[in-house]
Amino acid sequence: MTCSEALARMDFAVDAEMAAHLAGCAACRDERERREELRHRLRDAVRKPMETAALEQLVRTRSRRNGGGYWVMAAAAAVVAGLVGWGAYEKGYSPFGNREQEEFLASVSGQVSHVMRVGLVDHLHCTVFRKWAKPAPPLEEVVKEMDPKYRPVALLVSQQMPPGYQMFVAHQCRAGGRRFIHLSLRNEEGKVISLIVTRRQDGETFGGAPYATAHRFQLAGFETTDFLGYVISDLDEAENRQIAQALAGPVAAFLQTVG
Amino acid sequence: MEYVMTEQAEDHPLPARETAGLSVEERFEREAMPHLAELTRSATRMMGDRTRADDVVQETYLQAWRSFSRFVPGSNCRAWLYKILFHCVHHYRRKWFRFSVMQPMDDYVEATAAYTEPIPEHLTDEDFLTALDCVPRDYRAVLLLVDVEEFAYKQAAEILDVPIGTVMSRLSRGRKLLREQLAEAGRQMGYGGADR
Repeated sequence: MTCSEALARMDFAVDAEMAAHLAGCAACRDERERREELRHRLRDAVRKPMETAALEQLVRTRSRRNGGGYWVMAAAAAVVAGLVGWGAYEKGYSPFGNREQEEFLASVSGQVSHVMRVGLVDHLHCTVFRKWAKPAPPLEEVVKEMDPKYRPVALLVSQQMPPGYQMFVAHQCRAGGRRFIHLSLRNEEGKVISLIVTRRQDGETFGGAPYATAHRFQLAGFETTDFLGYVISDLDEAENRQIAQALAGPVAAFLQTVG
Repeated sequence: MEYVMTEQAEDHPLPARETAGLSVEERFEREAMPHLAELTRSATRMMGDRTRADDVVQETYLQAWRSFSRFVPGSNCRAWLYKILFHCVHHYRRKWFRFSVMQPMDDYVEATAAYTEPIPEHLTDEDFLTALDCVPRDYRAVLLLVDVEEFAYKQAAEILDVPIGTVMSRLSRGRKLLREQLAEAGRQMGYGGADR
């Protein structure tokens, strides 16, 4: 066997002929070791652990709809956790441990489409699961967490909101490997409204379904060439749509200026 | 759609006695659910992002659940799930990306078998993942199944529903493309001109 023939068969199982060649050819032996090492490194890179607890819960919840006693029990537990969590959220503090967060996330986000879930998951992580000071600090303090180039959008949004709402979140954040601009406001009754913006990824669009409901959250989406925008609140559907329609134009215009 | 694997050798099968007397729900929990994490990582590499991967994995498990009563206890649940996963990946892409993507030909033969450039040790796991993501989808699928998840060629062929020869040619081509991507990444980081 020549080195050229050995190289052509290098990626496959070693037979007797190949073994004999490798035994006598240091260059081909090195090559084989190099390729083996590369495979090991690829395996290690891909096999890094991923957080999948929320997804597991979501799978169980969705499967429930297809019957099965076990799934019913698991999903019921998730719903109970969600309701308990929601009650505490209504009281103004975050009661969620990690497991409760995952279960609540799974039970709520499973009710909407992929593209809606992108914004909803961020809303849940930043607005529902985190604790925020009450009352909120003044707007100029809240926006200090934001990159200065995005701060004008906070002012723009606060001007478009119904009376009585105060901004308590204004920051850039990450969830599910994506970056977001996130603004949230609430009123004295504890009603919360979020505006969330993220860059569009290939093929993402709200298409003919820019509105959705999940649990008590109302979602309305709008999109530009480069961005997806979400208004997510616990107002009623008509109010949420109205706010989204009021915000879509000015926010899209602002996003064009920042690129 | 019904998913059938003719290769019945489970990597680490649950002995039939361990699942005897369990309900379908309990068997699904014990046999299928433990593979969710690895299916998610494969789906992430195939779909390009975690959100889409989660969608595909959910659909995979939903389909698996619907046909689990026909699954033979003790047979290869992992390979069976992968077969459903790749079917779902294919359909998801057809649904969301309604344009045709030029794929290199399958009958690729290494025309210029040559020694490879050593891959710089400084490359990180992230560099490897980026390089893998640049490998065309069909080749990436084989790399994931054979090199990462360590399926036999025959199992990979059944999962992807292609002849075993196609798996081998895609594997060879895919590895070469990956090496080229990594070498290029190394050059861009200033580790080029390796010592050969």
